[in-house]
Amino acid sequence: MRGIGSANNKLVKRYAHYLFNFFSNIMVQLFLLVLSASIVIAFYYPIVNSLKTQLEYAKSQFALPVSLDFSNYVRAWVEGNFGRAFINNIILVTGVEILALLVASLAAYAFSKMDFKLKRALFRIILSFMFLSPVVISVSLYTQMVKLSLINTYVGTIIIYTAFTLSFTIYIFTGFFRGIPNELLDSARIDGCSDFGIYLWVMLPLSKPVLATLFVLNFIYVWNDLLIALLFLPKSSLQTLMIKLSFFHTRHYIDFMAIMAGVVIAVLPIVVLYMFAQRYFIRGMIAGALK
Amino acid sequence: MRKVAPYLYIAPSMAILSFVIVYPLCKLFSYSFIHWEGIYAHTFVGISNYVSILSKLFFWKILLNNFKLFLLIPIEVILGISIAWLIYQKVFAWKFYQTIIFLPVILSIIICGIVWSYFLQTNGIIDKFLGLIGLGEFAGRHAWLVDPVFALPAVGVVIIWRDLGFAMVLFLARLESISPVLFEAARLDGASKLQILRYIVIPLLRGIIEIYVVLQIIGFLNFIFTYIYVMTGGGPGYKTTVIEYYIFEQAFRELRLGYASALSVILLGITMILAFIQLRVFKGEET
Repeated sequence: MRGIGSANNKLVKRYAHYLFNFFSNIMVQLFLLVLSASIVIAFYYPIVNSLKTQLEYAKSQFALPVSLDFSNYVRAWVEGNFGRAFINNIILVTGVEILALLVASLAAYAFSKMDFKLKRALFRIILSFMFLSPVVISVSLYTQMVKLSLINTYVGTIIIYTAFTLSFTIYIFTGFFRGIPNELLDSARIDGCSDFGIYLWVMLPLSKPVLATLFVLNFIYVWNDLLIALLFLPKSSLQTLMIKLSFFHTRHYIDFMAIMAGVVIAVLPIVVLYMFAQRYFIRGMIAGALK
Repeated sequence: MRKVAPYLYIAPSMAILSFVIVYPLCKLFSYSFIHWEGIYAHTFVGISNYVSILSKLFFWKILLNNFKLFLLIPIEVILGISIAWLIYQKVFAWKFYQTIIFLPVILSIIICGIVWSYFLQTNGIIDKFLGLIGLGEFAGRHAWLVDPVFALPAVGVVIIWRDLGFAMVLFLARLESISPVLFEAARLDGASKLQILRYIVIPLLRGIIEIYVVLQIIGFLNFIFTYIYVMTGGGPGYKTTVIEYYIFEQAFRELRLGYASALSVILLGITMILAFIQLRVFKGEET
């Protein structure tokens, strides 16, 4: 008697188990699907609507445009001054990349391969700045920049961006440099290389992967930023893409299709960069946290 | 020359950091003790800014908005681990999901905010979706972002939507560093997938979860200004105003610079206290 009953129980349990697995698999797939769908739609929506005419958009938000109307892009670029803003973005990104990578790698060289008083303390202080948000500093930084007439200058803004990326950039460079075996430096020194020569001919050439990663991360940071550009480049001809977008958006600008075109213009370089350098994005994101 | 060299190498960095961060930080402290509104002369008022901030309920309500967003952190952790675990197991279409889910991370917050504003408008995509799954009563009344009750949760959804990609990548990296031998041994011992998840994977993820939580707490205090600025401008009334946004508004719209400086110092203090507490808690658990 007991034997048959327990056999039935085992069967029921096994079917329940299969059902549970089956059901949870479906739930899992559904969840992933819905999440991914929302992301795909987030890209689809601006692209599709930026190619529609006013009439087509009024008809349907989701339908594909009947014909590709690029006039929205022209309007955004010229009348909306997105062309000018695009150039501003490029200038800022270029300046910050050059300055930050140069300055940070020099400092990281010292932190990783040299010994000096205050090394540990300074390094810790620099690291702690990573968690400072621009908003907190903005009040006094803004008044300082006003006093020095550095508002509405590329140079001033580039220096500010550089400062906010320096902590992380120095951190990553230092970690990487520490991994370069000292024997390499010693043999270079024996060959008569100076300290700076070692930096130039040994450390930097070996740093290509880190340079790529940091380039990508700093690019996203500067390109996508709002607050610093908002405060320090208020002049219309100097505004960045993100500033223009946020202004048009918060003022409920009527030319909605042009805003969508602006969104695509602003996102395109990042997406292109992502397609070519995907692993550097990911590597960079986790590098800081996993250490 | 040798002794001086290191300082030369760090000099440019130190110069930039001092100029943009250190010196303004010091100035920030001194401004917080001043009454300075608009362009009028400033007078020293001691701690009266701090008293005025901390004694009014209004400030605490705004702080509460920040803390409400903290509730998102456990959700992010659970969802993040779930997604990472699924991808690690290479479920159907895992490569597709992995690429797509990470995408919002590289998008500017402004872009995310603008696009989601359109999703969340009356009879926008979200309303249509709710109709599809039978929750249609919630939809169609007015835009989510101007609803006093749902505006903050709506912003929260967007924040999670974007953060999940980062969480996924983080947890996935940690998962991939686990030796597969561990899983083999567990499977040989007859462990089910759920058991492996509970008794092996989660304990091993402890470290990275703690790091993630610390990052997110700092993030929800200091790095969500842009979401609010683009999506709600502080919300209906002050319903979605977080501390960062309050500082911005007081400093650059109301021009109450002394008051805003004090607010900034308070925010710094809160951040440091919370970070300190967490580090203590996590270090304690290790021993």
